[in-house]
Amino acid sequence: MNKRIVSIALAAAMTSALFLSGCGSDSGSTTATTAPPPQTTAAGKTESAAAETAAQTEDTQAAAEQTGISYPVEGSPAISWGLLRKSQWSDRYDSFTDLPLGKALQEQTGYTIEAVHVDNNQAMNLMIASGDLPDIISYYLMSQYNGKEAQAVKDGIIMGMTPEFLQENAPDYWAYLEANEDVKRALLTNDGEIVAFAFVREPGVSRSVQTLMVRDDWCEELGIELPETADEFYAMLKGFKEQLGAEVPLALPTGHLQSALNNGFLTQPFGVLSRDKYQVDGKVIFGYMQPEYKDVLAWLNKLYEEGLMDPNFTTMDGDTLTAYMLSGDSGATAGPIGSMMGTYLNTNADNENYSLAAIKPLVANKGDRPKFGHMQNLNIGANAYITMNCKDPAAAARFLNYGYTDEGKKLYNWGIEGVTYNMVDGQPVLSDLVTNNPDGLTTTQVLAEYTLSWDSGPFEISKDINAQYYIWPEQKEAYEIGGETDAALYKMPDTTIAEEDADEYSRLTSEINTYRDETEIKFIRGEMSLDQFDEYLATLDRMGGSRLLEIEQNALDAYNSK
Amino acid sequence: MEKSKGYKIFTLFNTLFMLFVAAACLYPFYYIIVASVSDPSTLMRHRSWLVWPVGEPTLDGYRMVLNNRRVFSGFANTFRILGLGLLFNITLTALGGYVLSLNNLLLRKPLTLIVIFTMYFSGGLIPSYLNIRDLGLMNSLWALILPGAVSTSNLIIMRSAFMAVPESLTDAAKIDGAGHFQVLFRILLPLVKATLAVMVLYYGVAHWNSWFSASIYLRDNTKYPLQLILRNILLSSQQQDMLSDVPMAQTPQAMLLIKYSLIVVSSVPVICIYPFLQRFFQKGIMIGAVKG
Repeated sequence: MNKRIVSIALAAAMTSALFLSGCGSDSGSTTATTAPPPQTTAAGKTESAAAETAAQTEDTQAAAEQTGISYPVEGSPAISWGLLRKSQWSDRYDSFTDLPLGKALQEQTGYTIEAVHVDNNQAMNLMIASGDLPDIISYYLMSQYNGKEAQAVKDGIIMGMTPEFLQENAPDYWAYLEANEDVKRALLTNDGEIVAFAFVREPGVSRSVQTLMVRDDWCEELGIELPETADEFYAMLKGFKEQLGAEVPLALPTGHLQSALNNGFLTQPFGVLSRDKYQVDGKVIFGYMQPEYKDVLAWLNKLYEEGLMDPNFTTMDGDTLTAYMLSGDSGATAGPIGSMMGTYLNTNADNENYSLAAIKPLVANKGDRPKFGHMQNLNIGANAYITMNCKDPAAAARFLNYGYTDEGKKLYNWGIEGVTYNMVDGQPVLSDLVTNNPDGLTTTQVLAEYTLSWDSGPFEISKDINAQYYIWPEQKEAYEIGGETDAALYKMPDTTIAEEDADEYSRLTSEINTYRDETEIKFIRGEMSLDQFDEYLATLDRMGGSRLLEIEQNALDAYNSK
Repeated sequence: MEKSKGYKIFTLFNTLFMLFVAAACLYPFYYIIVASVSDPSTLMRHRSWLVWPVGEPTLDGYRMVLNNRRVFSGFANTFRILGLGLLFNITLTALGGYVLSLNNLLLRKPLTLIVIFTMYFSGGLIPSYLNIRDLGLMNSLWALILPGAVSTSNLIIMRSAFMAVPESLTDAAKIDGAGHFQVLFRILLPLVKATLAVMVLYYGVAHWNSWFSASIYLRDNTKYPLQLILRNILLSSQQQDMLSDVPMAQTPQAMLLIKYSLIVVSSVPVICIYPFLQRFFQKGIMIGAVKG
């Protein structure tokens, strides 16, 4: 009797196994991502391309001189590209190649793209761990891979590209790197290889997208100027509370408070550029380990004690913050120019008695130029990597190079001329289709169909993009004054922690940061007296603060000597 | 019989307390329903209890949800997974539970231990992923159905339910010449209907709510189940991360409406089915638990 049951179970297992293999063959074809691109020989193609370029007339000559690669390339090489699926378009399109951008990209480069979509970071991490990769992946290896890109090269996941390889196959990208030493340095391994086709910014404008913002109509009502120093800021909050009856003049939930401190918005009057790490003449400094940081905490404690800050700021969530700022219970906060300031201005657009203005990071003396502020790195967002599964890296590089040519930059940044943008006085300006979509799509949704500038990708993002995205003059101004700092001198570059220090570094960082965050809140809420500040510094040191500093310093030294 | 004063007072407070608990459970859902028809801008400014829709009531959220074609394919896929999945779940769990409930099964103890072992230990995410890939299940709905076809805890409940049936019943059937299948399908299963209903509910809700496996195994969004679609829409309606602010020209107030409307839309089917299964629910769990 028992035997029979066992055999039935076995049979059932086998039938289901058959079943599995049955549907496997069907889905296998769709997941076989590494379809080898046709073996067009790399050298031959460049030659023919070059010859063709030479034969072409002057109108493309400027581009040709620079690139040496003419698009569309011949022979319609195939390329598989692993991307995160974005919800900004996924309700309307099934694949990147169905998007107007994907179609235009294939047309303009001559490549046949096979998009391999994964849903989220976790799925991408698994795909990377499985070693089953498309030719190219667009991803955040710098934050998602242990040991950043350099380690991924070592682990045989992505290809490290020599300068010669890039000069030959991606001349436009190479030209950008040559011209922007700091970006190049961040992408260089210790063996002198470039790790990625990076998402990079055109240099030369503000890279600040976070700001302090206050109700300037209230300031006017009080008859005061927009505050520049800590004392003026304090007086303004006091006025908001006592004269205008604002319940919580300064609305800063913990997360926003911390990033405001990290960005140096509130720390500079007290002689600390930022709560976080920064550099002065090649020396790393941790703001929160400085004795002067005590004064920052004392000032915040004063705001807290006098009810100028929300007593529940540690538990305040995003929705509450929005409600506070919109309803007039609060008059000052800090955060992103787009998603916060833009939301407030949009939502209260029909309210005449509502106005916001960005202010510069607070400084010690009126009229000082802020030394620090928010500043994005030149390389932010997802980079594109050629994987070790790629059969023809040269072809992949030539494809990725497109984003750094003039034509490619236009496509990735602005979309299609006459559809998503028009040239006005030699400047691209987004069209009505984008800013006032007839089908009710948001700006981001439309741009997601035509460009990658709303997100990130293998191209150089135009310096004019932000100003175009920010529709309110208040936002444009915030963006502008955010750039008027000396942050470039003091901000820590994108360093790589040495491999042998990596474990210790992550342990120290997490322990120390946890202790710092908890203690800081206790100081601000007065649960711990500031007399104990020296004890706090001693504890940080005992936990390995100076060792952490040393590791950071080594990383910075290594970076500077690359 | 006259009830004592203490009893009455207790009943009063007990009722009040239970009403309070019920309200606390219902309010979040009520909030979502009310929010889904509120004016989004007013809603963002709103800062207290939500009793009635604030601002001009609107059905825009629902309109947008119904215009989103992924919502429909999501529903279709979820029902596909639910239907096929339940078939596998119930069949395999019943067969497995029956085998483990047999007193005279060879190696019953070690078999049971092996089964229970899987409740506490698993291979981990990456091995599972590689396994699914090597089975050729990537980008297939089967990847969502087969790996979890038997849930160990449900199997144990099923086994206990079978064991609770007096042995004399199965013995009698055997004397009359019934084989294992006849015993299982004609004697045991009809007797544990309540437990079966609970199984349907447990597995069903698990399928309905699951999104994670879909997010890592599926490549085409035409195959996405509803919850994954819902999750993606919810995530995209969140405020963007603080570091790269580029994407956010404006947080579309509309996303707020979509979010709430979508939660309502995706919950409706479960709410419709639940009352019909609920009467089995308590009974079914109890049967499983008594002789566990």
